[in-house]
Amino acid sequence: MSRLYAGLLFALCAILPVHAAQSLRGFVIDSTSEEPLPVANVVVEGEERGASTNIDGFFVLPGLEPGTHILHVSYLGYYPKQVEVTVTDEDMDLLTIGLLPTSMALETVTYTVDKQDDEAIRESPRVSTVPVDGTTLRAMPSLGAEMDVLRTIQAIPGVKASSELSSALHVRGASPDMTLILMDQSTVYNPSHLFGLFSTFNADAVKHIELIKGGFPAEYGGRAGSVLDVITNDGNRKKYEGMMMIGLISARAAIEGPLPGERGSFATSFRRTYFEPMLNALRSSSEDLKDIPDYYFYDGNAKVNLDLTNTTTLTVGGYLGHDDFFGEFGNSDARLSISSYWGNRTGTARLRQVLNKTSFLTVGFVYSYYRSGAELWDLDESNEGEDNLIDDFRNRFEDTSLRADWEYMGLKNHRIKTGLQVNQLGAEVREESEDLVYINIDTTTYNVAYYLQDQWRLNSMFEIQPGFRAYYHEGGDYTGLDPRLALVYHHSPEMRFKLAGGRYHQFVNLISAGDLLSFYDIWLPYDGTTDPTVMNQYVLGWEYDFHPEYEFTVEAYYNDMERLLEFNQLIDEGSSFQDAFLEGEGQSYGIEFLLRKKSGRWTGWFGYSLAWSERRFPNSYLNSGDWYPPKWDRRNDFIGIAMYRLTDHWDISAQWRYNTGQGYTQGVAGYTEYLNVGLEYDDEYGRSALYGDLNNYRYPADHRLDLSAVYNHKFFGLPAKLTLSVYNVYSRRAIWTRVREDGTNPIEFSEVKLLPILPLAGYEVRF
Amino acid sequence: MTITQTFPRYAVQVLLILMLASFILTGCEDNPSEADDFEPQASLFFFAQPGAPLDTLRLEWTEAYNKYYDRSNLGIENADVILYPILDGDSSAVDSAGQVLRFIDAPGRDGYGDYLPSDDSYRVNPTWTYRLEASKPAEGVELWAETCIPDTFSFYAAFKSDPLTPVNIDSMSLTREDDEVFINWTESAGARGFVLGIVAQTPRDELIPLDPEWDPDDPDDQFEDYELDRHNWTFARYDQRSMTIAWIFFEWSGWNELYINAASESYYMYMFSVIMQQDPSFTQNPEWNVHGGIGVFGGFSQHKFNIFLERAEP
Repeated sequence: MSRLYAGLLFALCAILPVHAAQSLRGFVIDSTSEEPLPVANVVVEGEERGASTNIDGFFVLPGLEPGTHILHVSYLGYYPKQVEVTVTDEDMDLLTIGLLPTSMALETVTYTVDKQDDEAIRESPRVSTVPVDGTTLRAMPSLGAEMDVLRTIQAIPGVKASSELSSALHVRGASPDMTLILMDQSTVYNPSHLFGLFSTFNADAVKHIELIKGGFPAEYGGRAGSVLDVITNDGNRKKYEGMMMIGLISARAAIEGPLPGERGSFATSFRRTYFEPMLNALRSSSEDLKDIPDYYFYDGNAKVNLDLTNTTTLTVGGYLGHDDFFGEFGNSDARLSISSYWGNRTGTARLRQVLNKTSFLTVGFVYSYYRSGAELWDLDESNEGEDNLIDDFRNRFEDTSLRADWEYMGLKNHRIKTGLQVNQLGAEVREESEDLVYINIDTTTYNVAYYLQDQWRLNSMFEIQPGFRAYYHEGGDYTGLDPRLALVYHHSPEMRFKLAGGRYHQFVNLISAGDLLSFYDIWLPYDGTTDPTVMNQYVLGWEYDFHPEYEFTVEAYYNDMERLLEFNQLIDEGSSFQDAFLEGEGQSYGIEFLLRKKSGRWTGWFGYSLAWSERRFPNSYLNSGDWYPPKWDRRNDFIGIAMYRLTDHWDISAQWRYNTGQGYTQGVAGYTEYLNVGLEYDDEYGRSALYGDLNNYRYPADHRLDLSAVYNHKFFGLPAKLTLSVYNVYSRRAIWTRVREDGTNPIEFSEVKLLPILPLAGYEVRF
Repeated sequence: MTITQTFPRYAVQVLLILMLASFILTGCEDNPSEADDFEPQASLFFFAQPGAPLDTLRLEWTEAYNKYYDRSNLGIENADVILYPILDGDSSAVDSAGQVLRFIDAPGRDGYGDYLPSDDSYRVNPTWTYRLEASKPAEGVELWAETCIPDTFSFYAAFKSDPLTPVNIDSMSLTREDDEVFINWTESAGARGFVLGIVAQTPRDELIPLDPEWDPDDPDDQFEDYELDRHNWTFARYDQRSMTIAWIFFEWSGWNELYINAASESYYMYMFSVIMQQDPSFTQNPEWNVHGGIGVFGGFSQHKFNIFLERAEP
C-alpha cells in the first residue's frame, strides 16, 4: 500500500500548475433557461485549437494573445454562435455565452453549421462516444409518449438488447452489469421499471446523455465495459415553467425555475403509472382473469443549484424510484401470494468551484441505494391458522462515495484532470423460509480509486490522452492499475483516425434472474474470494465529416475479458462471492458504422454493427465448460432513425431496425428422465429434451418500424403537444422465446411472440 | 494523385460496399442446428437404497428430437452391467468374496433396456461408495459412475400447530382444511441433501384434482395428458431438519405417498437441476455423473408414508 500512496503523491505533484499566457474562461449556457451546457465546443477562429466545456459548462482557453478574437461556440441541438471577445493584459471576468436551442424555432428553419456540434468529442482523442442531447431524445419515436433513455441508447450501433421488451444494455458483447450507468455522477444499479420495459430515467429530467462504448478515459472506472453518463436538467434560471403529460399508462409532471434572489435554479419531475384501475376492471370482468396481479411504479427527480458566489455553486439532487408487484395464484382452497418491490434511491451533493484562472474543482458526496424483496406465502384459506411463509427474499446494495475532481486547463496544449474517489460498498442478501435461511450475505467493503489523465495536443495533427486509474479494494486487499491511452491523428480537418485502449477493472457484479424478474437482481461487491473481472479493450476508429451536416464513423474493437463471472444457478446455499459465481473468460470483437445527420430540417442516423461475442466457464455446467456465444450475440444490426420537421406544428419521426437472430438453446434429442419414485414410464411420461450446446440455434432475423408524430399547438394559450405513435407499424412480431410443447411426440416447439402493432397517444402541456 | 488524396473521396462509398458485403457474408449464414448432426448417446439410470432390494436399472439410447420416441426400440440389450463397492477408495480393489453384482436383461421387456439384479438378496451398505459399469463394446457403450450410499436416518411427522408432538399420520385421511403436515428428520451421513416428494397413487387416467372448483363436465377444466403428473417434489439442504408441507404442493385427491430421501451428491444435484429446468433461462441438461454418456447413478436412504386426501366440496 505504501507504494501506492507514494505513487499517488507523485502523480499529484507532477501536475502542479504552471503559469501560462492570458486565459479566457467562462460558461456556455442555454440562453433561454441559463442552464450550463456540458461538452459544448468553443473554437478560436484562426487558430487550430479550441476547448470543450466540462460537465458544468465551464471552459478555459489558455495562452491567448491580447487582442480581439472570434469564438465559434456550438452544441448539439443548439444554434451555433460567434462571439467577439477582446483579450487584454488584465485579468478577465468569466464569460457567459448563451446558445439558443433549435427547438425554440417557431418558423421552419433550415440552417447549416460550419463544424459539427459535437466536434469537441470528435476532435478529441476520445473514441466510441455518442452524445445525445435532451432535444434529440424527446424527438425520437416513443412508445406512447414514454420517451425512454435506454431505448434511445439501444438504437446506437454496438448496443444490443436481449429482447425488444428489455431495456438492459449489452454493449459490445458485454453483460449489462459491465456498463457503468451514472446519473449526475451517482451510480444507478437497477435502471429499469416494469420488468425492463421502461428505464428509470424520466426523459423530461434529462439534459444530456453520453454513451462511451469502450476505450473510456481514466476518469471513469469500476466497470469493465462501457459508460452511460446521464446529466439531468439544472432548471431554468430565468423563469418558472412546468409541464404535465398524460399518457395511456402513466402521467408525468415537471416544474423548474429560478431560486429566490437569482441565486440559482431548481428542477423537479415526477412520474407514476396507473395500471391499477385497468387491472381491477380486468379482474372483475372474468373469473379467468381474477389472478391478474397488481403493479405500479413511480419515480421522481429533484435538483437544486445554489450559487454560493459567482464562482462557487452547490448542487443537491436526488432520485427516488419504486416498483411494486402483488399477486395471488392457485385454487380457492390452496393459494399462494407473491409480493415484491424494487427500486433505487440516489442522492448527490456537489460543490463546484472555479479555483483560479485555469482550474476547476468539484467535490461531491454521492449516495446510491438499491433494494429489492419478494415474499411468497402459502395462504391459509380456512382463516383458522396462519399463512405459511414459503420464501422471503431481501436484498439491498448501498454505494456511498466521496470524490474530488480537479481540472487544470492552464497549459496551452494540455487539459489535465485528476481525482480521488472513495466508495463504501455494502450488500445484504438474505433468502429464507420459515424453516431455514438459504442465503445470508452481509458484506461491506471499501474501494479507493485515484486517476490522472491528460489531453495533450502534440501538434496540429496528433493529440493523445494518456492516463491511469489506480485501485485499492479492501475485499481481498487488492491493488490494481489500469493504464489508459487514446490517440487521434488529424489527417485533415474533415478526417481523423483514432486509437484507444486500456485495462478496466470491475469490482461489483450482478446476479440477474433475467429481464422478467428484475426484483431478483442482486448486486455484490467483490469480496476477495475471487479475483475481480478485468477487460482489456482495443479500439480503432475512423471519422470523416464529409459534409457540414453529416458525420461518418467507423470503429473496430476487440475486448478480451478475464475472470468473467456468471451466476451459478446450481447453488443451494451461498455466503460468499465464490459460492455465487462461476469464473471464466470471454472475448468480443466487431466493427460498427455510424452515419449521422445532425442538423437541418431532418436529422437522424443510420448505423450498422457486425459483432461476435463468446465466453466460457471451464469446469462448470455451463456448456460443459466449452466456449459458447451468449444469448445477446447477434451478428448484424441495422438501425435507421429519422426526425423531420414537417410544418410549424408537426414533427414526425421514424425508426426502423433490422437484426439477425440471437441465440437460444434447443433440444437435440429425447430421453427418459427417470426420477426414482416408482412411477411407470412410457413413451410420453418422463420423456425429456436433451439440450445441445448453449445457444446452439438462432432465431430468424427480425425487423420493425416505429412511427411517431407530434402536433405542437396552444392549449388555452399554453404550449402543448399531442404525441401519436405507432409501435411495430406492420405488426411483425418478433420471437421472444421458443418453448417445448408438452405432450408432443416427436418433440415440437412453439414460439412466444412479442408485441404486435400498438398505437398509443400522449398529451403534454407546458406552462 | 496519391492514395491519401483519393481515399476520402471514395471512402464512404467503399465502406458502405464493405458493410453490405460483410452483411451478405455473415447475415445469410445458415441457422446452425445440432439436430441435423444428431448422434445417439447411451443413458444409464440407477438408484440404490441401503438394506432394500435393488430397483430396475435402465440402459437406453437417446433419440433425435424430431423423430418419434419409442422406448421399446431404444433399449441397449445384452450389455455387461456390474455393480461393486470401492474398498478403501481403490476402485480396482473389488472384494473377492462375492461383492460384485451382475445385472441381467429383465424378462419380458425385450427392446426396453431394463435390467434387474441377478441376485435378489444383494444389498448395498450405507456410507459405502459403489461403482457401476455398463459396457457393450460392439455398440460403443462404455459407461461408468460412482456414488456414495447415504446412511439411514430417523424421521417423524407432526402437524404444524404442534410440531414437537409426533403423530402417526400414515394412512390418515385429511383435507386441505386440516392443519398442515410438518416433518422432522435427523442427519444422514454421506447425504448431500434431502429430496421430499409427493406421489399420487391413483392411476393417471383416474386422477381427480383437490381443487373444489374443478368441474369434470366443464371443457375448460379438462386436463391434457402431460398435465397429469402425479409427482411433485422439493428440496431440503443437508443441514435442514424440518419442513412444513404446504397443501399447495398436493394436487390430487385419493392416496398420496410422501417420501423423504437422503440423497447422494449425484442424486441431489440431478434432482436439483431437473427442477431448475423449469426456469426458462436454465437451458442446460441436468447434472449427470455417468461417464461416457448421460444419466445418473444415485444413492438414497428413504422414509415414506401414505395419506388419503379428500376433496372438499365446492
